[in-house]
Amino acid sequence: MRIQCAAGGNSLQPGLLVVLFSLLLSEAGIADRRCLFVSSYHQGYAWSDGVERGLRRTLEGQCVIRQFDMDTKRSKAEKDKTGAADRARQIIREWQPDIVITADDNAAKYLIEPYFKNHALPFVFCGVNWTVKEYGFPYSNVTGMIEVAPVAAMIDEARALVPGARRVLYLGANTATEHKNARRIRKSAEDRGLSFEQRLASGQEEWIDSYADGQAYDFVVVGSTAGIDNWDTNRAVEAIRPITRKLTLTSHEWMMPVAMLGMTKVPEEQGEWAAKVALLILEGAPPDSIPIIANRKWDLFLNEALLNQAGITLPSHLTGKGKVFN
Amino acid sequence: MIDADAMISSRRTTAILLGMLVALCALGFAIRNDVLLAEQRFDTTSADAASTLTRQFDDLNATLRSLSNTHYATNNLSQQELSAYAQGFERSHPYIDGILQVQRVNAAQRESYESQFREGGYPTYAIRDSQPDGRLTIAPYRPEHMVLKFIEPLEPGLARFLGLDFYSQDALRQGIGQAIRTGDIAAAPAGFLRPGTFLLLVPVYKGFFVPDNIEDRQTQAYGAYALLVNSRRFLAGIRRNHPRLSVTISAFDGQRQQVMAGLTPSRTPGSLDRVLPTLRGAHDIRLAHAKFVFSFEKDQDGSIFHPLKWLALTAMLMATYAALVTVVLTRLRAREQALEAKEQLFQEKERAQVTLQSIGEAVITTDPTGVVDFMNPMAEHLTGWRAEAAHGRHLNEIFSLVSESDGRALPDPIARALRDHDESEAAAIMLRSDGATIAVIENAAAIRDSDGHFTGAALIVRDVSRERSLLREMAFQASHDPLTRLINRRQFERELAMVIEDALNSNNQHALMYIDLDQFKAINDSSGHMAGDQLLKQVAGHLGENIRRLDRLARLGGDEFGVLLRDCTLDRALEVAESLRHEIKDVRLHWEDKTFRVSLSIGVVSINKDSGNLDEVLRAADAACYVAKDQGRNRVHCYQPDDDLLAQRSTDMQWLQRLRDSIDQNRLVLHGQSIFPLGNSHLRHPVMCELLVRMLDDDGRTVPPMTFIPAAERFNLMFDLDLWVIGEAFRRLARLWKTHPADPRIFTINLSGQSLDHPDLETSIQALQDKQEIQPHKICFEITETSVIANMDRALAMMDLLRRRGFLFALDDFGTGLSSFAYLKKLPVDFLKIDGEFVRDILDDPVDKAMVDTIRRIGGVLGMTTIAESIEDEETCKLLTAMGIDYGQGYFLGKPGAGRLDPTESNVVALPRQS
Repeated sequence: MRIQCAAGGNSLQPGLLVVLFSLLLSEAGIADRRCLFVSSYHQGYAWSDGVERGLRRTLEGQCVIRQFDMDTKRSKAEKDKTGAADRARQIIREWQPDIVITADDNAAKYLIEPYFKNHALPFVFCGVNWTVKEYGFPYSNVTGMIEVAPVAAMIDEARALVPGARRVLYLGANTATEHKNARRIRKSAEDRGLSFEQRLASGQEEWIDSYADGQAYDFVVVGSTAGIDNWDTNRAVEAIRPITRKLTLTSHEWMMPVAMLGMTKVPEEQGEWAAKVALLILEGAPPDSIPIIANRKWDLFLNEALLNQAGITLPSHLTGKGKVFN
Repeated sequence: MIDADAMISSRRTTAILLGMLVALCALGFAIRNDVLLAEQRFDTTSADAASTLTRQFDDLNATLRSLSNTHYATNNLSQQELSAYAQGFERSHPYIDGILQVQRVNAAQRESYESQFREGGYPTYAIRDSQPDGRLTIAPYRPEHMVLKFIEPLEPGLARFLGLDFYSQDALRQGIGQAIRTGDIAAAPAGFLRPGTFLLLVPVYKGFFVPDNIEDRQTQAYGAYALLVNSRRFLAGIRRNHPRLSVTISAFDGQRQQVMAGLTPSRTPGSLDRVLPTLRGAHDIRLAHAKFVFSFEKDQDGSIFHPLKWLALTAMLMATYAALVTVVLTRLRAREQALEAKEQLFQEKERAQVTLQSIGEAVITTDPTGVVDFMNPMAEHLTGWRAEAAHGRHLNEIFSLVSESDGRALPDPIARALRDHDESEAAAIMLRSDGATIAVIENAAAIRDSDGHFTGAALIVRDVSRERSLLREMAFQASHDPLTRLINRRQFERELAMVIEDALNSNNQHALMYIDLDQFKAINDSSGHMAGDQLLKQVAGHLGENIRRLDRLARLGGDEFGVLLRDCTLDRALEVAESLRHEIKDVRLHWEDKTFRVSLSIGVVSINKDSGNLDEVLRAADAACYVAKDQGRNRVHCYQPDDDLLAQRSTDMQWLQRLRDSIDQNRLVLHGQSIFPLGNSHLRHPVMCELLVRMLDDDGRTVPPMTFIPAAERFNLMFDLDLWVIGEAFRRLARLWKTHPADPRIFTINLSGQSLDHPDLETSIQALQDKQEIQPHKICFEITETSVIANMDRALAMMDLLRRRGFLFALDDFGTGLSSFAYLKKLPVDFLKIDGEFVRDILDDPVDKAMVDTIRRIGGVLGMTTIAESIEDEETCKLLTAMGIDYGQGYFLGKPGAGRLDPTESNVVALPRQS
C-alpha cells in the first residue's frame, strides 16, 4: 500500500481513505468500550484458563479487555477475598469499564452482591455453580451463565455401568465451590436412591486417603481439587493407580488423570456466553432481558489406563464415543 | 416541369412519411422487443430464483427430516446432543440461525417441567406467552403447551424465548396442529421469534416411527423440531444474483397464505416506473402437504430499454428502407425521365414543325446532291411550288439566285454550303420558275450526322423585298420633300456641290435659280396650311414640267424652291427663269370657295469656276431672289457681283447687327403717338397712346423703324425687340404712375407675329410685370389680325392669360385679313384698329367707307371700341367722327414723338377742336 501526497501530482485513493477512516472510527469505538474481566481465581487454573480463553476469543477486537484475578482459590482467607473484591472495585472506579464480566462464584459473592446489586454498571457472570439464589440474582444489572455439571447423566451412566450400585462417594477439595457441587450431586444421587457421602480434603494426602476410602463405595465422583495447596497431579496419579478398583467419574476435565470416565463441562462455553451477552448489552440490550441460563455442553473422556488398571470394561457406546485421555 | 417537380415532391413527401412510419414501427418493435426481453428475463430470473429457493427449501426440508429421524433414532435429542447436532451449521447452512426443539407439555407436567429447568441452571425459567407488544409473560395454564425447549446454537438474543409456548400464537397453534395431524412441515409467520426470520418445523412423535393415523399422531406427538431461518441470508443468493427482484415467500396451509419472508430491493424510482408495468410471477413448491408460494416482482425502469439497439435497428431498417426507396425512386425517375425525354423530343419536333410552319423564312432541305426533300409553307409561298411537287426535284428546277447588284447568277447555295463547311449568308434576287423576282437573303448550311458526315443541306431564304422597299422609301424621304416629292435642300446642296466641283474642274457652266413664292404667307395665314400646301404642290408640279430632265428642282424650305440647271449658260438660265415666272403667274389656286394667284421672285446665279464654294453660290442666289422680292416681287433678278441691290441686301445685314447691338447696348428709345377719342367719345374714353420703338444711331439721331424692323423680322429678332419695348414701357409707366397715378391714358404696345408665336411670351411679360408696379388695365397689347389668325389657339391662350392679369388687347390692322370677321366673335379684344388702307381713301372710295362702317358696326355689336388709323386730314377725321368711330390716330391728330409719354395736358386731354 502506498499513499502518495496529493501535492506531488497523485492523489490518495478516496476508497482507501474511507477504509482508513472507518478503521480509525472502529478502533476508536473499540477503544471507547471497556470490558473488565474479573476472575475469581488465577491464571494457570485450568477451569479459569478455559473460561478466559472462551471469553477472549469472543471479545477480541470488540472491546478493550482488562483482567483482574481475585486469586481466591489460592488465597482462601476471607480477608483475602474481600480484599481482592475491593481491588476489583477500585479498578472499576478508576478504569470506568462499560461492563464487567465475572467468572465463578467468589466474584459474584464478594464483588457483585455487596457492591453492584441493581447498579448502573452491567455485570455478566459465568461459572457460578448450580444456582445464583444465594446471591440474590437476578439483579436488573446482572445476567449470565450458571455452571452446571451433567450430574444426572453422570449418575445415570454410573448406575448403568455398575449395576446394583447403592453407595456413592463424592471426593473434592474443601472449598465453597466443592461444597456446592457436593450438594448438587447428593441431591441427584439421592433422587436415584443412592447413598451419598462426601470427602472434601484440604490437602493432597488427605485427598489420596479419601480416594483410597472411596474404593469401598460402588463408584466415586471426583470433584475438583482446586483449592488444595500444592496439588501434584502426578503424585496423585501415582498414588491412586495401584489402589483403584472402582469406577471413578468426574465432570472436570482437569481431573481426568485421576478419573476413569469424564463427563466434563466446557469452560470455554462459559467464557463465550458471557462475552456474547456482554456484547449484546454493550449494543444496548438491558441485562435483565437476557435470561440466566446454564451451560449446555459437556464432553466425554475415558482414562483407559485407569480403566485397565481396575479391570473395568466399558460398553461400546462409551468406548466409541469417549475421548481417550492421555 | 412543374407537374414533374410536384410529383417528385409528392413522392418524396410520401417516402419520408412512409419512412417515418417505418422508423416508428421499428422503434415500436424495438421497444416491444425490449419489453418482451425484459419479461423473458424476468421469467428466467424468477425461474432461477424459484429454483434456488426450491433447492434451499429442499435443504431445509432435508435438515428437518434429518432432525426428526435423529430424534427417532436416539432417545430424544438431549440438549447436549442437539448442541452437537447444530455445531457447524453456520457454515453448512448459513441461513439457519438455529435449531429449535419444541416439546408438548400438558398442564400436569408443567410444574415439574419448569422446575426441572429452574433447578438445572435456568433460575427464571417458565412457560411464557408472547404478547403482541413483544413482551413475554407467564403463560396461563392450558391443557397443552408447545414449549420451546432448546435452541441451538443458543444466542443471548434468543435465550429469552426458551420456554415460549408456541400455542400462544393461534396461527402457529393451528399450523403445528395441522403439521402434527399430517406429519408434514409447517411454517411460522415471519418474525415470530425474531424480525427477519421465519420458522419451519416438523412434528416428531414418541416412539421410533411416525404414527400411521391421525389419532395416533395427535396422541403420540412429542413436539417438533424447527429451523429458525434467517430471511436475509436465505435470500442472499437471490439478492446477489438478482438484485432487483422482489421476493415474497408465503406458506399456504390450505386456507390461508401467510408471509414468511420477503425481499424488497431498495432503489430510486425511475421516471418510467409509473409507465412501465411491474412484472410479477409466482412459483410454488410442495413439501408433502405443505405448500409454499414464491412470489416475484420486479419494477421495470428505463434500464430495460436499449436506445442504442433501437437506434441501430431503426438505422438499419431506415438504411434498408432508404436504399429501397432510392432504388424505386431512381427507377421511377429514370422511367419518367425517359418519358419526359420522349415527350420533350416529341414537343421539340412539334415545336420545330410548328416553327417551320409558322416562321417567316422559307426553309428548304435537300440531300447532298441538292434534291429537295422538305419545304415549309413559307418556302412554298416564296417559290410558288407546292412541297409535294418540289419533293425529289433539284433545287435549280425550283428557283435560281442572281446577284442583287449586277444580276449575275450566283453559285448553287447547296454546293457552297457543302464546300465551305459552314453557314454563309448572301443577299440575292430569287428568280422563280414562273419568272417572278423577289429580293431575298439566303442562308445555306450543311447538315451533318453524328459522325460529321454530310447528310444534306438546309437553305433558309428570307423575303426582303419589303425591307428593300422600305429602305428605298427611307432613302427617298431622306433626300426628298414629302409634300412636293421634290428633292430636299440636303440632296439639292449635295448635287449642287457636285456641279460646282464639276464647274471648277471642267470649265462647264451651270446655273442656279432661287425661287420664292410671293404672297404665300398671306395665303397660308388666311386660308390655312392645307391651302398653302396645296399651292406648293401645284407650283412644284408646274415648275417640274417646265425644266429639262437633266435639271434638278428642289424644295429648299417653306415657299422657297431651287432649280439646278446643268450645262446651262446664264442667259439660258434667265430665259428659263422668266418662262417659269410667266408660267406660274398664270396659275390659279382654287381652295374651297377662293381663288388665289401667285407669283415668283427668282434669283439666278451662274455657276462657273469663279462662283466660289457652295455657301457663296447659295448666298448669291438668295440675295438675288431677295432683291427680286424687294423690287416688288414677281420678277427675276440675276446676280452680279457689282449689283447695287445686292448691296442693299448687304445693308440689311448690317442693320441686323446694329439692331442687336442696340438691344444689347440699350440704344433704343420709346416714342408715343396719341390716339384721341373722336367726337363725344372723350366723355367715355380716355386718351390712348401707342408706344413705338425707335433706334438711335451712333450720332444719337433717331432711325426710322422701317429701316430696322424688316431686318428684325427677317432675322427673327422681333421677340427680343418686343420684350425690350415691353420692359422699357413698364419701367417708364411705373415711374409715370408713381408720380401721376391718376393719369387716365391707356398705353398700347405692339406685339409682332413672331412674338405671338414665341412660347415664352406670357411668362416673360408676367416676369416684367412682377418687376414693376404698373396698372395693367391701362396697358393694351396690339396684335395684328394676320398673326392671330395664323395661330388662333395659341393667341387665344395667351390673351386669356394676360387678360386675367388685367391687360387689354387691341386687334391691329383689322380688315386686311379678308375673313377676319369670322374670328371676331372668338377674340377677346377691347379695341379694333381699322387698317389704314381703308382709312386713307375713305373720302373717295365708298368700298373703304363701307368697310370702315361695317367694322364699326360689328365692333359695336361685339362691344369693341374702334380706332381708325392713318388719319392724315381733317375731312377724314370728321367723316370718321361722323361715322361713329371711337378713336382716331394719325399725323393729323398727332405725330409720334418722345414727349408723348409725358403727362402733359396736350397728351392727356382730348382735342378741343373735336368737340
